[in-house]
Amino acid sequence: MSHNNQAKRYIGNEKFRWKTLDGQDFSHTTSITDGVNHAVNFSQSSLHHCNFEHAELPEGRFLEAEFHHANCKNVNFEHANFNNAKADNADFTHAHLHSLNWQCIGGVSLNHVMFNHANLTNARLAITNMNNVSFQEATLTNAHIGSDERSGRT
Amino acid sequence: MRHSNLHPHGTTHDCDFTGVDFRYSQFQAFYGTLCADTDFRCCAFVMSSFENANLTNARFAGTYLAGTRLTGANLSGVTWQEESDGVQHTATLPDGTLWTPATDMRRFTDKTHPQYHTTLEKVETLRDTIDWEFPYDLVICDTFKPEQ
Repeated sequence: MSHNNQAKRYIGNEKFRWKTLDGQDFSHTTSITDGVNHAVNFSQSSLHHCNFEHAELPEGRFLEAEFHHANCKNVNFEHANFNNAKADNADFTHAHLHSLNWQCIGGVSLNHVMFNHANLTNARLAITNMNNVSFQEATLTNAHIGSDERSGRT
Repeated sequence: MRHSNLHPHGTTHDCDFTGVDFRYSQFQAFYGTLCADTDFRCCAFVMSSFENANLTNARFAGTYLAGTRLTGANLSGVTWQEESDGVQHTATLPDGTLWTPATDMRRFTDKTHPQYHTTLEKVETLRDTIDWEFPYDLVICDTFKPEQ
C-alpha cells in the first residue's frame, strides 16, 4: 500500500490508557488536536506487536506501556514520554525521536531494539540496562545516554 | 558497594553504535563495545567504559574521557584532535591529560605496556573523585555542532 494513498486516521487522547491493544494497526495515524489535548496517551497499555509505522504521534505518552515486537519504523514520537516503557524487540528504524524522554528505573531494561537511522537528537535515554540495541547511523546529538540510578553508587 | 570499582560494567551491553552521531552528548555509566566510525566529538563521559571496544575510526576531538576505561580497546584510526577555524580541539584522556601527537595510547589499552598499571591507577582514582554530575562546563565550543 502506498504511503501517499494511505488515508490519515486520527486517534483520540485518553481512550488508550490501561487498554490491551495487542496487534492493533496504528500505522499512519496521528493524534487529535483539539486545542487542549494534543498528545495521545497509551500509558500502562499493552501494545505488543502493534504497528505504528509512519504514525505521527508527537508528545505521545507511553509511560509504563509494554510494546514488545512493535513496529515503530518511521514514526514521529518527538517529545514523547516513554518512561519505564518496555519495548523488547521493537523496531524504531528511521523513527523521529527528537527529545524523546525514556527513563527506566527499577530494573526495566531494553533488549534487542533497533534505532538504526533514527533521530534521537536531545533525547534522554536514562536506561540502566540496554542489551543488543542497535543505533547504526542514528543521530543522538546532545543526547543523554546511560543511567540515572545514582543510588547504585553507594 | 560503589557503582564502578568492583565490576567493569556499564549500561550498554553489546549494543551497536556503529556510525552513530553522538556529538555533544553526555554519558553516564556508558559501556560501549561496538563503536566503529562513531562520532563522539565534544561528548562528556562519566563513569564510563570502552573496555574491549571496537573504536576503529571513531572521533574524539574535544571529548572528555577522564576516568573512562579503555583496556583492550581497538583505537585504530581514532581521531583525538581536530582543527576548526584555527583552533585545535583535543580529547581529554582517561588519566585527565590532554592528548598530544606524542601520546602513546597503548598505556590505556595494553596490559603489557610498562605504563599500563600506573596509568590505570590514575584512571581509577579519577573515577573515585570525579563528581557523578556531568561536567557541563567542559562543553567548550559549538564548532562541531551539526546544522539544525
